[in-house]
Amino acid sequence: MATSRTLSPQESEAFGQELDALRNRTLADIGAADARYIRRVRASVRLTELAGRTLLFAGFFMPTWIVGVLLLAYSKIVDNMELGHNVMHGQYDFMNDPEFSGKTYEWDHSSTSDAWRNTHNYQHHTYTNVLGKDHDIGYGTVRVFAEQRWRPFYLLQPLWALLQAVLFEYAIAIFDLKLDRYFKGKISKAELAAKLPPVKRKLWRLFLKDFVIFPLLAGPHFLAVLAGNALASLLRNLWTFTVIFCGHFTEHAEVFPASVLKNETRGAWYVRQLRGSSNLSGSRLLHFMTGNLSHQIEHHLFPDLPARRYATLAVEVREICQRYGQHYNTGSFAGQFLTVLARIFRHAFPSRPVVKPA
Amino acid sequence: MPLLPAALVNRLLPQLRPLRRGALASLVREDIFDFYGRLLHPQLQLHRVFARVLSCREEGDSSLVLTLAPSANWRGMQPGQHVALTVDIDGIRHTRRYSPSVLPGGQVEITVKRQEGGLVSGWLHEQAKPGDYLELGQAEGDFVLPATPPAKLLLLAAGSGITPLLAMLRALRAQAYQGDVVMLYYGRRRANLAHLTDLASFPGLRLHICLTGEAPGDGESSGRFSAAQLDELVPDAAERRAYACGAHGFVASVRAVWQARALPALADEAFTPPVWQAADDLPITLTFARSVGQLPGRTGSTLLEQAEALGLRPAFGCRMGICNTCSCHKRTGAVRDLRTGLVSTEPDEAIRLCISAPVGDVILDL
Repeated sequence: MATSRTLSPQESEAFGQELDALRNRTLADIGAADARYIRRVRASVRLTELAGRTLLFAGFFMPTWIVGVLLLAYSKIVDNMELGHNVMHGQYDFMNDPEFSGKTYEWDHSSTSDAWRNTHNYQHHTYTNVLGKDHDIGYGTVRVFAEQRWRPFYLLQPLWALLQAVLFEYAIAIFDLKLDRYFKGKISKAELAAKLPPVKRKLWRLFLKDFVIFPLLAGPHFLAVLAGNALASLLRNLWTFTVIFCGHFTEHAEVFPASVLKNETRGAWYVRQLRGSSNLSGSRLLHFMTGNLSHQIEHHLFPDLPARRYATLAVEVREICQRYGQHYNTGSFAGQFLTVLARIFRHAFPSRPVVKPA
Repeated sequence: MPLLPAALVNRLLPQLRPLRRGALASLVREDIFDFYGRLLHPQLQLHRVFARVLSCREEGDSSLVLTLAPSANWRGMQPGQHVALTVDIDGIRHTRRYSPSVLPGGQVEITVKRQEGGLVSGWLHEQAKPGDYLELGQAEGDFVLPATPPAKLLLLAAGSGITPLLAMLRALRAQAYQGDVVMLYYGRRRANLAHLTDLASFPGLRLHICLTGEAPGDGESSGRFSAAQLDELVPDAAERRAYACGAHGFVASVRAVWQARALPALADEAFTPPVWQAADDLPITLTFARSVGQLPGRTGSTLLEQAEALGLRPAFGCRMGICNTCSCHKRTGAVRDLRTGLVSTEPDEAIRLCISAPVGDVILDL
């Protein structure tokens, strides 16, 4: 397990104050450069989407078709990560621009942004890695921590995880419906039905767009566009699944019992965010394509600061962690992903939490 | 240079109706339409209104008069109403409200008084130039003349409070109004007063200039608005329909005289500057513009706690400023971020109710 030492209440208070000070220093510097950046990111999303779809309209001429798929996949990934996810956190609310307002932003993703703002921005970011409160732990289908109760269902979880990766955006879209709880009888049919209409509307709308309207507009190239859109969506799903599972389910990521929430101080909240998250090291391109969620630790400490700041913040966060003897969970993309896979396979079988020496 | 001519764009805008309402509208995301639209022309927007700056002219010693041509998305206005004008300064958008006049050609004239240290007014004075595009909101407010203008009017203006009244006068002149109008126009110095030449040319307008910061000239008065001054300058005030506009203090003193005298029918509008109160827990007024109107509040606790204590149920999540669920549009007023201690006075901005405490009166879109 990770080698973080237990902080005394005073230490965790001081740890939190150092992070607050770092946050305030960054806040004071936010402005024109960040606004210009996110506008450029959006322009790249829109223009690559246009270019990608146009190329796909040329049909199955392999070189253009492949470039078209890659451009469209780029557009979908960045729309999902660096644009949609970060804008919806309110990172760019300081611009006062209705098009970048976290409260109303809509993204090109099967999950309605309202559901996302609730399950992700609120539940996941407030209760990060707290069992029973953060439903992102395994997304209801995968057992990634020994602390989760084992059931025979999990024996096949490598398969469930693969399915979830392929269909990731749909898994996220229906995630808020808590179907697992419905099948367990914990949610009534009426409660489920009340949540359905917006989800159905959004799923139907995006399905129509990528798999009916654009292919039909291409006329004779119907199949080329259909296949291209499907492949671009698949690439986006596999990529986002991988990045997101690497954010919280790596080897040293910790999970917490609900009891930690009782009288949790701001400092302790920071410590939990740190211990529940894990980073990916890599190139600037990697950071960009993950929406800077490769800096998952910084994102969890400061979810409302523009994500383009995380790389700079990481240097100081790491230094602070070192001084307080806190493990800073980072590693290469491949390395971290392997530990995620190891967890998925290991905890498919009954397992017991390792008892930490006091 | 825009790729499309403005005339074509403005002929096209009304034709976009099917994209705004109906079955097709649900397939079109406004921000995506607007993104591609503005690549072609800054005014090619689904709902939003951008106005082209036609001219900028100095008025008095501290006012700038902008003539704007709004896009065909603008629904027009009644004289006396106000509109939001938004400018982008270093990537951050700032909104201020102005009371424009509509010119005969459908253009909009906005008078911007330079405020000391004012970000937006300073920027407009220094940076705005013909050919720029500024965002304009749709007109709001009920400070307007009745459909049939009254025969006798009394207009009371202080400082930039002149603008909605000027808009009314111009509209009356356009209708060849034959009634009797008296105006009291207050300012610190004569040089501060905007639009004097224009006012002098109104037929049948009796204009009294009242200066509060320098000695009056011939035919002018001195001192702030008072009951005695009203009696002296407008003995028949009781027979007139009155409109008052200016800073909060001015409008309050006019209202007090009208109440004390039980005079009929005063319409008033105040440009309220944020009231700064540094102390810990003072009584203030919270205005929930969408739901209940005005309720008493305090400066000491968060807006979320206060709204809940007053029986409102705003959306909330983490209650610690991280999830943005309680994000809310603040129209005016100053709030303190309880995490950073920073006070923000910017009108029309997004704030989080759970970590914001009011510093003075606040108006929320809630």
